[in-house]
Amino acid sequence: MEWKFPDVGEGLHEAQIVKWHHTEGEEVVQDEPLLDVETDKAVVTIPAPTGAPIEKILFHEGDTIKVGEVVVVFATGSAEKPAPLREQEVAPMREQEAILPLEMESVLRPAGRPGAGPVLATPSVRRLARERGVDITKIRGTGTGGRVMAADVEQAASAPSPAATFPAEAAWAAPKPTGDIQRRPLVGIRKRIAENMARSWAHAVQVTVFEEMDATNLVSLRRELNSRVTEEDRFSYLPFVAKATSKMLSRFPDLNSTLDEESSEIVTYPRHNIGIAVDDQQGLTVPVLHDIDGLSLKATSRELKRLIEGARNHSLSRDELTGSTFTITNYGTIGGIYATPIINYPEVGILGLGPIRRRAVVNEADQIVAADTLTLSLTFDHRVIDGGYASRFLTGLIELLSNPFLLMVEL
Amino acid sequence: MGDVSELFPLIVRMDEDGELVGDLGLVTKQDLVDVYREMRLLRAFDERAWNLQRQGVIGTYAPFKGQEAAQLGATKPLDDSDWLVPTYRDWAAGYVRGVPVTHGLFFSKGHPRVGDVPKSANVLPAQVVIGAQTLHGVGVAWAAKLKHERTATVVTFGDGSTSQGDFHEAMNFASVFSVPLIFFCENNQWAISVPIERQMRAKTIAQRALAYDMEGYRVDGNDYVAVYNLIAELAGRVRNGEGPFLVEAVTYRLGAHTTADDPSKYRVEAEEERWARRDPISRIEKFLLRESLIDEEQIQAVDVAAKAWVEEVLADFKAELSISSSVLFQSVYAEMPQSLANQFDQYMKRVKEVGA
Repeated sequence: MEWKFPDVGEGLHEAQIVKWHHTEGEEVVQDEPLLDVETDKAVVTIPAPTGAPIEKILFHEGDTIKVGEVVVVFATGSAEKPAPLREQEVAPMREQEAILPLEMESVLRPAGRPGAGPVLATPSVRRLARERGVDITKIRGTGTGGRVMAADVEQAASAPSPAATFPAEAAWAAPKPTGDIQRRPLVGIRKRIAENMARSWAHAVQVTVFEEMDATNLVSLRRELNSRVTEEDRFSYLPFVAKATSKMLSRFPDLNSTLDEESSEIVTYPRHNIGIAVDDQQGLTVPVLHDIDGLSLKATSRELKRLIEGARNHSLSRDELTGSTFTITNYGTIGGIYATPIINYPEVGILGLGPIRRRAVVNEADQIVAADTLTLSLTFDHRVIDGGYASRFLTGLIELLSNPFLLMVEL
Repeated sequence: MGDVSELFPLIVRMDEDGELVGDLGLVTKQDLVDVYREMRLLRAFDERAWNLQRQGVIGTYAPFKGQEAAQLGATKPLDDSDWLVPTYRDWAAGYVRGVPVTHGLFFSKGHPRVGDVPKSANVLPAQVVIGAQTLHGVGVAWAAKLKHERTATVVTFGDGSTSQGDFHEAMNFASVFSVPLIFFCENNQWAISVPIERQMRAKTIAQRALAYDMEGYRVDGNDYVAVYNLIAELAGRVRNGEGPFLVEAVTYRLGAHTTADDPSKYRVEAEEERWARRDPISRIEKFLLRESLIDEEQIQAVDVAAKAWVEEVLADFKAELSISSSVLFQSVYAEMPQSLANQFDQYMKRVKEVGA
């Protein structure tokens, strides 16, 4: 049984999950507290709608959920049919939706000619058309006033007739099912990621610049440092990159900004809040290292460890997951030399880190030697940032990272 | 002139400790056992309805928790031929008069079933426009008068309603035409987030009766015995041609205004605790325990019964949800007029045509 987030207020669109009272796999008792959500008005406790084990929790604490989204799935046995209340309510409503005064209908579609105006069809017929891959606007409706009926759709789908006029379009609308295709609902975190990515892609004009740097000094500095600290304080490369990025953001403040499209203003931020993309089984999350300028390298390292672990345990608060002004994604630890990271909208820059690898490079004496190299990919929003600005930022960053004593001077 | 509010002392018969400070009057001890059980059932329903909204089964719901004594006290003394004209929080009152509590859920869902009040129940469908039902109540009572029927009409409304124009028009009209009506105000202290002292200068609602030359009464709305006896007396007088009357039942909304409201934002916990001690159910329970009319075991049994009853109510609700929307046409008039019958035919034809 899927439980969809209802409007727990009046005219509510979304709310934030404050607390789950249960975890996946636990059995809940009907009407006992299941989760707390915070709306514009209040923190509201949702009592469990059923008594059953929780099969899947689709949103974490801190996530925003929209009314109508599936939030939790219960494993309901065969005996109990879930939520009949919700299913039955649909029937009378559909009847009402379908009603159009006769007069109105003939005005809308005088002679039942295809393409002569808005298509008259019930939602279920429209869905049928989509499922059959039929372009409903090309169907001649046989119903009153040219209304497209289910039979019309079936006919159009079976005959290579009117619908075949635009085969390509129909094919795009719904690929013909072949083999064992699977359909699963786009819900929860996956849906949220999809929305965020699409929004970023639709708004920001994204350009990626790639660079490669000699990481020899960085590698030896880290090795040196790690030989002198306790196991738990060992550094990864990330704190060095994060601190260097912050230093460069001070010099290139426009990369620490957002574009406020509504007011047509570029908003720059005095603090550097670095988002760190964390790969997680349930989907990408981006905890935020707030105000990194004020942190030492050691403090940065500790904070990063805490945030990344918190992101994987889903124990971070909403504050720890929001408010970033620039983002770093470290895909190199998994795989990929270069990438074109998508901006964490509405930010204007994201830095991607490739792996540090031994590669053949040409040294100053024109000899090919093996050296530790790091590849970097910087995506910027070309509406706000020009290519020269972005490239200068990137080369400056490489300067700091390849000569980390310069970075040390500034820490 | 002294303080007019002193003319309207609070009538109490059973205090918050379940001690009789007056007599039981027309209420028997067995009545109290029955009423106690009924209130517990209704409260269990009310609390479940709140959860159903949170779970997405119903829409906005206005809980009546804390106002059970007022609602039962105002309706139990009525005869079958008397009328109740309720507002959207009066599901307990409607239940006493023969309207299933499922109507509270249908109302919240915007389901047409809610307009289909059983023919046997002289109750109007619940009114959501604040105070508008006071005018409807005047109309019902006036009609009874014109038809020379010996019936009493009770119109219920909240304290917030008394700041509405409709209320004053209704009071004036009722007074001028001497209609057989009891204005029954459930003063639960809060009009959503506005406390009573912020919405009227007068110290009591009862004293407003003076302006219309009516008799006004102020009664402890959490004291079933007091409310019952007062309404029984006034209903009798109304049936004998007297009235109208104004009754202010002083009670408290223990829950939120509706499921869209959060009272912790505007009222303090100490106030809620104070009123929780005056709970209408607990005072009867204390009385019954002291009089050995019930024991702990029976109290537990009521818990179980209440749970089972709520499940039955929900089963009814579920079963009736799928009821045809033709109820929209069929429950407007006692006999469907031709014009509506034509519309109904056309509607059913369309339903068939679109195959929905």
